[in-house]
Amino acid sequence: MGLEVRGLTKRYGGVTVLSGVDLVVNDGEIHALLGANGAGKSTLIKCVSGAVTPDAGTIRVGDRQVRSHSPRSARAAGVAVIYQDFSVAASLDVTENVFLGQELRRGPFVRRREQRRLTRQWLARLGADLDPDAGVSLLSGAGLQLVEIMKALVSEPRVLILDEPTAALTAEEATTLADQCRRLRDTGLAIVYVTHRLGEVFELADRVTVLRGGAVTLTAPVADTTPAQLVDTIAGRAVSTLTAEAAAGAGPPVLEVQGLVSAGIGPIDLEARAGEVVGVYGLLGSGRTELLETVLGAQPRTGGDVRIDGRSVRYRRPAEAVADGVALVPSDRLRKGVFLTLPGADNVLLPTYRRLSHLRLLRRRAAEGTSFTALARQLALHPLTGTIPGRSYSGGNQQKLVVGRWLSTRCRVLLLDEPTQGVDVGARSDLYAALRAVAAAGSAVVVTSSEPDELRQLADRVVVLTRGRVAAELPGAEATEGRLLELSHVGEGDLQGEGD
Amino acid sequence: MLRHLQRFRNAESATSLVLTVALVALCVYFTARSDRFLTVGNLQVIVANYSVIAVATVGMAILMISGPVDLSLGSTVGATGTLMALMVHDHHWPAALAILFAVGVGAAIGAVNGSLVALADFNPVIVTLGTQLFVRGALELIRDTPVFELGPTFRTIGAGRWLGLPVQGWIAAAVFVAGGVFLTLTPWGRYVYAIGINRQAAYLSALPVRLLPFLLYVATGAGAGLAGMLLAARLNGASPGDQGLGFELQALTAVLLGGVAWAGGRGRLTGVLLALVFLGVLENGLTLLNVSPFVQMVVRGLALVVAAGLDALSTRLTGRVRFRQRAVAQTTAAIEPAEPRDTPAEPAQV
Repeated sequence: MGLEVRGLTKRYGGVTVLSGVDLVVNDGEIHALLGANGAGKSTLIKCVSGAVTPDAGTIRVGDRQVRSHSPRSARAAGVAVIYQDFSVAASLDVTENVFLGQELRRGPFVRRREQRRLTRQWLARLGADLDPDAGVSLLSGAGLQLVEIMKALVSEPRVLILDEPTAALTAEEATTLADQCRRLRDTGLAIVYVTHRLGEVFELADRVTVLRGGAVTLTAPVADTTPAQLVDTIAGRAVSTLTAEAAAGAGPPVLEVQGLVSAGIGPIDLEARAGEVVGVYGLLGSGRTELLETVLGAQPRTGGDVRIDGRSVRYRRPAEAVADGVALVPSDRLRKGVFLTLPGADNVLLPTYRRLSHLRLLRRRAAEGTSFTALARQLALHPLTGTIPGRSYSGGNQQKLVVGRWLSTRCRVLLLDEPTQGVDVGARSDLYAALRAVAAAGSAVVVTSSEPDELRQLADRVVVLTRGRVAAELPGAEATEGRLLELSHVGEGDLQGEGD
Repeated sequence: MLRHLQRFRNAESATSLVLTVALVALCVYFTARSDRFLTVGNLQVIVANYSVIAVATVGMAILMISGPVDLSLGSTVGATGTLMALMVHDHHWPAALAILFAVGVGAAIGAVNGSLVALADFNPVIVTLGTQLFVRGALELIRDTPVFELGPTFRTIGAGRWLGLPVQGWIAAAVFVAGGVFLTLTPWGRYVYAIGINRQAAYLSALPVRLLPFLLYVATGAGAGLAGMLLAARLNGASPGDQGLGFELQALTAVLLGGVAWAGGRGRLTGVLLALVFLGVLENGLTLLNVSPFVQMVVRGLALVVAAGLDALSTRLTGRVRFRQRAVAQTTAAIEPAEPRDTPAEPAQV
């Protein structure tokens, strides 16, 4: 038995976050752990990794019961956790990073050669083609992920926990990671794989456990479940997977981008009409963030033309774009989106305060309250209050705050960069509904995403972006995973061909 | 102690409580040691002594909530006071014009700081240390001997009373109220916090991330100019070499003790006011006990170090309070809110 958790319970000040959770992960098994934001996944992982002390329940690793709860004792018992953000030292090479803080030593001297030998051995075992002497600053997301995994392997764990390992990876890198996970499983390691992406569950996992409201609602072999069943179990209700109706009455073009060139991207042509949701399918590094930030003026443009309502514009700062009704919901929510310590109401109303104020000078609390409540209802904000700080909302609801910011300003063009990254299924459909409503009100909406499913549900048209260029364009209904992957790879091949 | 502090909803109220307890203890001690401490006359002395610093501190506090700091405050107070005294004494300017001149010179120095820090992105600490030296040196080049005798108007501003309180106290109160109104009743007040908390997000939200800190520098400079005028009025003159020397550190101590975060984004003027009262009482009490000025300097230094400790403590408390607030949000919402991606390995609870 790799990991056996029995009756795990955790309360915070009278609120039960985990109640009697059982989780059994066998040696040589990949066990997917699913659940909406706030279902208790993180708390469960923190209990197992010793970061949080449970109130009741037992945790066994192998044949040993973990008695004291600290990260140190958990590691000693054989638990290794890989979090989604990489913690590598950029100035060191791969080997040095793998052994950072746990160097092999003879007396005071580091056994560099031995470290390099072991690293090479693990790389071979993982089937990875990586130079142990390479500096990590040049590594891709997958390379960094690999370094993190090897770092965890140094302590020879029995249980490896991966927390949303593919969140920052491209599809191709995710495939490589999946392969490495399988290899690790075959060495007898018990793997807990936390994810929001159902595709990975069916591709990779042997068994799956779904948490909801702090309790296990489903544990089953993956072969016995269907994606639809999992979605419903995660959400706890039947989620309508609406398909975007082709916007019959798409109006005149609102946003026209012609031959846009900026650092690393272009030339790009893109058009979005009033009442239309345009999807941009692109993986990390495809130039999707650069495209949106260049339109907004947050990044300098070196060539091409951008028109809003037929008028040529060149924004030097986002503030100028916003004054014109062009706004961006950035992908990096924590760093660029949410004000973590400001109340929810401030988070939504900041760009609107002046319009709501008396003579643009004195705030009017009543108007602010009405405005916030209306927006919060529209977005199904949860909890429905504006007084708690931004950090107290779940990831999905933080994203609603950021989106709500622009609903209150009646923008002409709403740009969204990966708006549902790390957002659970329920909050996703709330966001989709809100975005469709924005389009229906006559604005143009441009959404980037690396998830085909999302675009099929949301977009009228999908533009495939690869290496900073538009590789193809197709109607939203045809945006299946296979088709998009195919198109983005065809595009890549073409471009490489041109370059040769 | 940490554990008890955790009960508070936010870091500000926790630091305020620490300060209030310390203030009460100080008052009890000084009352016991000196029979002159708890008299109306002495309270008026405290108000008069600390009004100048209070006026200079308000702008600095708001500026620091938005992010940067102004360490040229003391030189600005000295320069504005001395130049104003020169105009009044040597050139016989009318009082009103001279006061406007002092505020204007302060605002101009603030505009220089603001241009370099807020518009050109220079480092605020280094830039304002530079202007501190520059302004003091330039002042002494203009005039290196004291100026005295400013006339009746300034005598009233400097030593007059209105409704039993020093005129200077009323002016400080007015400045505090103006700062409070700005922070709480205007949209710009919210921008100050937003920019201090997350400049990137504020930039993308179309908030004035450059203009607002620039204007706050100008306002801080103008406030220092007003303080320079008040100080010159109180001393009935100015000596360019040491007028306002070290004011920036006293203001910084009050701002940090008052719960404003060095990193910006957190703080309230009520906390800063409380810190000013505390520092005023401390200094006054030590003077009454006839303690040597060097001991006073040691105490000032200690107060600044304690302020840094309080800043660190508040930051730590915010982390812990966050945990509690999440639990509260769960009760109302039956969800577990944001999982902190930035701090994966939260330390075990002690």
